[in-house]
Amino acid sequence: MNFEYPAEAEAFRAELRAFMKQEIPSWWTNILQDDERSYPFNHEFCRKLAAKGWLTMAWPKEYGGGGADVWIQNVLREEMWSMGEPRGQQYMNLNFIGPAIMMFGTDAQKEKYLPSMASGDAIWCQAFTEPQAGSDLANLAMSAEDTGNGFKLNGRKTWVSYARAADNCILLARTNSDGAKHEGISMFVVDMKTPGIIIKDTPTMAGQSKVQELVFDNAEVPYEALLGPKDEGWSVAMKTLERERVGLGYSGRVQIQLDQLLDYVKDAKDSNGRPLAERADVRTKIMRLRALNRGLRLMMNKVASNPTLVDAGIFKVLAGDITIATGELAMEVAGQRGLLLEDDPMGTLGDGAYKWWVYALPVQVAAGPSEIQRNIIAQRELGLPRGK
Amino acid sequence: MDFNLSDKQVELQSAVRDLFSHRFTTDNMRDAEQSADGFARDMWEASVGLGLSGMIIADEFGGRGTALLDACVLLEEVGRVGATLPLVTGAGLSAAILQAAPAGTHRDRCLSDIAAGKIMAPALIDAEARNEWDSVQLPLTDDGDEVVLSGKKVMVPFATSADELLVSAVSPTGDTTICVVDPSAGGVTLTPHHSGTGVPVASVEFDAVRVAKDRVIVQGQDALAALHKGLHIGSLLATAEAVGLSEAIKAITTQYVAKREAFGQPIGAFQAVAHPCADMHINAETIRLLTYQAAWMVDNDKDATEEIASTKALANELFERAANDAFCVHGAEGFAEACDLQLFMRRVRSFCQTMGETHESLERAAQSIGL
Repeated sequence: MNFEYPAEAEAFRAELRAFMKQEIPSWWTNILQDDERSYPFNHEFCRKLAAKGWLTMAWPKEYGGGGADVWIQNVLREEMWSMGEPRGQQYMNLNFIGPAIMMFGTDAQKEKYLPSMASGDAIWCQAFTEPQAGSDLANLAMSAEDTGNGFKLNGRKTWVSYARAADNCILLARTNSDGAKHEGISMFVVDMKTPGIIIKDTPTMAGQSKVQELVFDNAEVPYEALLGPKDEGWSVAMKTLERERVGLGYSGRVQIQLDQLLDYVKDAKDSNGRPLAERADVRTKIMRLRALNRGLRLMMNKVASNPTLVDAGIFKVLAGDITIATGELAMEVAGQRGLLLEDDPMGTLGDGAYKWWVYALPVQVAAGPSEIQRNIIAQRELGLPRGK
Repeated sequence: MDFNLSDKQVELQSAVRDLFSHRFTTDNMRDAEQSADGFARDMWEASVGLGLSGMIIADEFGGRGTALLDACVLLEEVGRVGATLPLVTGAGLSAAILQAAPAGTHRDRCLSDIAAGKIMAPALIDAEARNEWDSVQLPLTDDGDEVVLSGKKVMVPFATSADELLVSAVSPTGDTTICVVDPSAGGVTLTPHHSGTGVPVASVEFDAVRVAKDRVIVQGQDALAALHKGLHIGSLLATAEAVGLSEAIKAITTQYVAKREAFGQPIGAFQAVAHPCADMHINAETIRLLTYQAAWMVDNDKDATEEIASTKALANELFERAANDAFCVHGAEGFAEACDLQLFMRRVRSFCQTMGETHESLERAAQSIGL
């Protein structure tokens, strides 16, 4: 065993940090930030990464990638997330949409879509979830009817991030209603300019964040939009989602927050005039979260070097628990002023404890909620029987 | 022991429940949050009409009487509909501090004013402090018939709508002082905070603000005692309101999981979903009983320091847990602005941070039993 990153990976980390320090503006805090400057910044940042050969360094060389090993990839992921993922929406292209096209696409699809991802020009969104198909994704109802000229799409997709900025969309629709629910699903790559796609914003408790609903009203797409075999989209989707979970670098973000918390509690005093850092409950909670976050980081590295659904599940459950616990601890130490938004001059803790808490909430349910991850672990690893 | 509310309490409870359930929906809650005042004026006036503003004020000042148990029953109903009103803070905390201070012309008039519906915002947290319990820092100097205030208070609830501010300050000799300040007086500047919780708060700056001496309510040890007694009662009232918030979260969540289907059945049929919902009920029932008991103890002249402080701490923990569990079983839906859950989650968040933080409440409880 060896728990060190290879020297090249650490050297790359240093180089990357210097680059990010120079390129990331002070107003940028994270991927969910609702700021009109975000999209242009993310886009430009990706182009600069691409110019350095760092955007798709994890991709195989034949698709314009750098063929980097998993450790270099992990460094990239950690550093990006620790700075609030400045790649914005494009992290999805790199982590799982691009790889899905590599695995399941035709030569024509690879040629059409991969180069613009590698250069940092293309923006994609992912539309899987529907009003009645969240955790139970196989329950999806969106129809793709074969018209003889291609497919006609009808239905609704919810919780789509970055739909307004996206050039293309990767989506799941039902091409066959006979048989079991997870049969008869197909995956498509769809041009967002296709007539019949209506985009509606979904305001969230974090404000007007970048989440949308897509309504497909007789949107017609050519046969070439099919990604992978018709009616076998379920297994295509599962392979894609496995990579989605691995691509989430939560531990980097938590580490930054815990560091900020440490600085804060050394200064802030409680009602007895004693620094919060001297309080046993504050000390134990911070140390406990540091330990858990080391576990999360190790699990991320383990999953990245050898992806399995079970380990990805462990990673995702830990990520949800640690992120919310960090947000709640931030609230506790910040006290009343933790309730203020980041633009209030009396606020505390970097971009604000309140924001840490609000943005921690969806980590528990996004990309497969913890309940579903625990089912996967119980059934696949522990061999427990499936319930009804 | 008798765990039943009296007929009179049930009557009060129904009156408040009828008023709010008919006139205050979650859409009203959203509108109130966006309004200039940050709360529903019409509901405040209706609450005053029902006597809620005098819920803990003696009848000699036009209040409903000082029974805290009655007030807890009423506030739970207010919390249940998420009506963010200056009840726990103005009619609760401010009134409790005044009531704990020695009788006096201005103090008595203030109590009558609050009972009649005037909003008295408690301005107790200094700009340099963490919360209401910190030692008072706002400087006050003596100048003939007046005192002069200079400094800043933060997180003052309902300040921009207040008729009066109840301000804690400290004299050059170190005497804690409580005085009443007109927010429109020269030198007072109100700046609304940007808060995420839907409870309107503002900072208040005092630039050599002159206050007539008859507006000084109490000074010295008596002032400190009144402050602590008031915060103690305020903490209990906040917990009673939070029981209502937690009931709302339970109701929203159980309705959702009974209806929402996945894998061919309502998700509430899955134990991973049902059990956290059951916990929401266990928590709300437990905290309600503890709250009632503490109120009953105060009403019967028993020392309830441990009971009130530790119940607040426990409620912070259990209601935070319940709100997060509710969010998790909602899945992504819970994050949508359109989902009513977020309205109540943000109110619970505010409750957890105010009128008694967890650690400090437990510390007070520990000290009260001689630890």
